[in-house]
Amino acid sequence: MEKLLEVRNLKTHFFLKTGVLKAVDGIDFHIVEGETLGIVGESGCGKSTVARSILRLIPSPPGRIVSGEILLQGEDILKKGEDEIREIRGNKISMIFQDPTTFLNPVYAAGDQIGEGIVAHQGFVKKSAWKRAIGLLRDVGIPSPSRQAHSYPHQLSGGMCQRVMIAMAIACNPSLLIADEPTTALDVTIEAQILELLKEIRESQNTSIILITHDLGIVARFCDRVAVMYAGKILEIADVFDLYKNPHHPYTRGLLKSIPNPAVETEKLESIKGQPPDLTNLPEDRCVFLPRCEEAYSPCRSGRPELVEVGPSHLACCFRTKR
Amino acid sequence: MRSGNQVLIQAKNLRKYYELRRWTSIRSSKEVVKAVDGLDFCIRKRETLGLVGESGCGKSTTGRLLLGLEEPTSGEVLFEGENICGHSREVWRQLRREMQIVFQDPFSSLNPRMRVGSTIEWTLKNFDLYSKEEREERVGRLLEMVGLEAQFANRYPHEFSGGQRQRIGIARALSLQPKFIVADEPVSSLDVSIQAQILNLLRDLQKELGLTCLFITHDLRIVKQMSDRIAVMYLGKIVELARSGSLYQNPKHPYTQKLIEAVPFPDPEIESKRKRVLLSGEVPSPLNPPSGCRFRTRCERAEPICSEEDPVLRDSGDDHSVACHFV
Repeated sequence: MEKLLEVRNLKTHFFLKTGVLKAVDGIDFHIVEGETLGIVGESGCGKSTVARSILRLIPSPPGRIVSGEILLQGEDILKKGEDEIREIRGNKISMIFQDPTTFLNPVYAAGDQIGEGIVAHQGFVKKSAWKRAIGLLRDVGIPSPSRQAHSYPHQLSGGMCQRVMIAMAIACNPSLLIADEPTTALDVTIEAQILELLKEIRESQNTSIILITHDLGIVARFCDRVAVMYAGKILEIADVFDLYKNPHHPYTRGLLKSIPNPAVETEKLESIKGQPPDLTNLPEDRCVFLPRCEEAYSPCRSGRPELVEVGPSHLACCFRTKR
Repeated sequence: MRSGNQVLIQAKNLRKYYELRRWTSIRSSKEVVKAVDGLDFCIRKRETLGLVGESGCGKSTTGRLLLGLEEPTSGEVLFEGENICGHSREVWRQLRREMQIVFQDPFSSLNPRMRVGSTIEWTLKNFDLYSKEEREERVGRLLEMVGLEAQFANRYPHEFSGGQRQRIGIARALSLQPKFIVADEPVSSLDVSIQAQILNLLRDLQKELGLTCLFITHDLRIVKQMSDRIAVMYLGKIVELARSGSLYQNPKHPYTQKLIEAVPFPDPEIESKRKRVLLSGEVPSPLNPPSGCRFRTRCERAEPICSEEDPVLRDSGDDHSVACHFV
């Protein structure tokens, strides 16, 4: 299958007064058509920065994409001008943000906000864009869409706002949808509804999805492949079934053990000792996970491991793993 | 796990209504939010009762009612057999030595201008306990008990991470050696790897000190790990109350069933095989809850009786109570 998006050696750094914060520090991955890639990690590991880098939404200053390539169907997004990137945003690649109530504009009705992108990218006039918006609201499961199109965000619940955001994101039939913690602000039953909706969209439009989340349960339910991020790096990337059954990196194993699984009887959770590192002054000469790793040995202190293949399409970034 | 079945704290037909005033251009109208609407449950000594539900179901209000941080509209809270509602401030002050709370947000629940040692010491000072030296020594021991170092007492909250602050919050709650602790979403603002650390700490301390806990959370994966029994709330009422094992293996109320079905398990093998019939719609507004059974608007099994009669929480044997007409 053809690679839809390929990210090569992406580095996004933030130049702060206290030092250089290496939010994303050299990551490589790709996503093929119709595939769902999960990016998991704890807060501050750089997963949202990856998403924003792809759409070139990094606030600058202080942030800057220092190096790397982001190839969308073979063309480098990072080399494009501002006008060209606007053609891509919302049209070929669109994004769903975590907190729908803050990312929707409070002074425009839902229908207007959805229509804006349709007018901008597809040359619709306002009236027909409004009609299309109503159709989209119906597609995302909003009851009585022609009435709800007139609603303002504060009149809608969190789940409904997220549906509006999804309607905006799919308005131009993008080939890639980036969902940044799309259900974190929602209750479980609503979360399940939204994930189901995203599944339907994926199946009906063959959209590729990058799902950014901290929840390994959602990844297990929703993704084909998964990348585990830590301190600005991908530590492991594999097929979902393979990763959960056969995790190679100690961090992945720790993460999997620290989530309670209601299907398994466990007396005690295992936790990862210590805390996530401060990304402004990470030592360059050792593994980023070293201070929290139970399995560290001498090579870990004298160099950074590379992401290498440990199995069929399974890559891990650890000196301990052997091919 | 439990010594006898003595009840430590009990809620009897507990209700809390909030009045809202809505202003239109010419007049105001009064509306009532029934945040907690008739709860009956007990927590036995040395037991952890998990309280789960979606946002706005009244679980935090329940915790605050038990601690007397809110005055109930009606009903009683019995602590060691004695009704504690409507006591004077001074009586409550003394009572709070026995009952403490761990808050959700470790960033806003510690005073940023006080060293954490003084924050913990305040609770002891408040009751004129011990001499200054003894207090300091106790603070050190408390910090060690929650996995920190004694000399951290001299630091300010901003010098700590979220997980460490939550440990400090726990140390503060334990400083008066309470019998009863309410943990209100103690880990929901923490990362997964830190979450597990704090949950283990809470569980260990609870066993070691023989505490009785009310563990409030929205996360069904955590609550099973932490609780002996679990109460499921929906729109201000308990719909099911059972031992945590049997609640998961054999959920009886349709809402509990849907809730457990909705939880993503961290295992793709299980997830790919699970069949899910999703709960449709959203939680109705507590301003205007449905008549009869509150869940009927989203329930597949709903029949006319559900809109007419409010099902009561009935024990269906084996310590398992359900509020549904069809169980």
